Amino acid sequence: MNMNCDRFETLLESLERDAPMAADLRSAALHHAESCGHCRARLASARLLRMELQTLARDDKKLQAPARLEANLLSAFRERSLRPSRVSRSVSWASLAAAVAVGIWLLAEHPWRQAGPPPLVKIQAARPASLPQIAPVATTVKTRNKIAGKSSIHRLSRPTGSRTAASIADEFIALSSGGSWYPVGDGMVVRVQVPRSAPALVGLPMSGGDASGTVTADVVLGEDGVARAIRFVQPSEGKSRNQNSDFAQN
Amino acid sequence: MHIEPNDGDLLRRMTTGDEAAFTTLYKRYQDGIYRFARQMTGGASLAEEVTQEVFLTLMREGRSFNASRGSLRAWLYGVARNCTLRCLERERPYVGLEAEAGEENAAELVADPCLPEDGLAGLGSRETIEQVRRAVLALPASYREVVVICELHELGYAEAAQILGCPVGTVRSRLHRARELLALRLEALRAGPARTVAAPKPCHR
Repeated sequence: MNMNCDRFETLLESLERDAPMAADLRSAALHHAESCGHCRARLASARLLRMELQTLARDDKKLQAPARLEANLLSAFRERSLRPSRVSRSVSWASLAAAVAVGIWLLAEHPWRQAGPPPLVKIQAARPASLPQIAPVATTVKTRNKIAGKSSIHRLSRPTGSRTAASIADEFIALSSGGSWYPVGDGMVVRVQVPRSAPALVGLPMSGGDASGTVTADVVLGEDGVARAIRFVQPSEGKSRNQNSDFAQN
Repeated sequence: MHIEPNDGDLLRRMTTGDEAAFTTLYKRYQDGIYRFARQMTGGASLAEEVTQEVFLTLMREGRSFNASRGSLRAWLYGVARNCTLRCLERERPYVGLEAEAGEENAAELVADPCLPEDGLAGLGSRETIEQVRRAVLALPASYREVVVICELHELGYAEAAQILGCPVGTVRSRLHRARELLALRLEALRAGPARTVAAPKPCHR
């Protein structure tokens, strides 16, 4: 069999690994190596390198990630498991979380704890594409807004014409705390009933009515379950004007 | 007879919140992932960071794993590879030449108290191992990764191609070139820093 250095080079890997190959081809290659110093050196060098790499691989087998890493990851896994997944998120659980979040916010921002109106920030939270009219409902949103402590409210003009309850909902108003605002990241919007005093706390006037009643609101919850923003939903004209009928628009 | 659950079953259970399934997957792959990151970066802290990120990604995006496109091991190694390259890129401003980084990282590995001392009897062997380690770390990343995957982890070319996202032929040619570079560097290291080694020339007989 005809063998030269170029041919030998293509067989080098198989030779040094002792990979299966045709017996006559192996014999010819080894015969060539005996007579060619360069190819003999190449084969010897390749075999030595393989042995050295195998030694290093064996030596590194004892490398292990530290135990604390497993503990940290398990902790993260548990934390993640406690949060409902985006797909199987329970509507009632989300509503409960939103109600709790809003309740906490109401307590924290109540006028008797603060001399002036709370600082308000308008955010560009993504409108849920199809917010059902039957509350409560959970919808995921993803925003990347990071607005630092603004103190004024800017309202977008509302579209006119025939509108559903969702379409005439007010813009989201950020629920800031301490003048800071954090990005929402992956969050969701849930529709809840909040006390009629809630709109007043964010500077929205209320007309007269039953002070003990509730109004419908969409609350943006962050991944951490904290309420990030709120908007108050207006009832459509054709819809029963029950508890929301006394919410005065600006 | 105890049958080990396969990756697909474990992954499905993990995505439903089964902690035992996640733990099994972690124990199954953490050593390989950690070693890969350590051999690529040379640093224990970076390897730890990469390993953590890989398993956090598994938690977050395990659902998106598609078994028809490759094994879970290849997927995890692929994530580890991307994280490692990001870490190396991030660390680049803080080191000089790549070869110097290799030297420093190898020194860190030698000084690691987790590594047992072989004693005087194993000194020669230890020196050789550290020389090889330095030579691997001094390779450019694209060559280093094929050496680590194919030689140190002994994964097949097909799986390496899945991890690296390139054709099998590319893996072969990169490995061939990497081994040449490695042999040259090792020859130079054995000969001492003053000696330069010329590339071997075929005799074309």
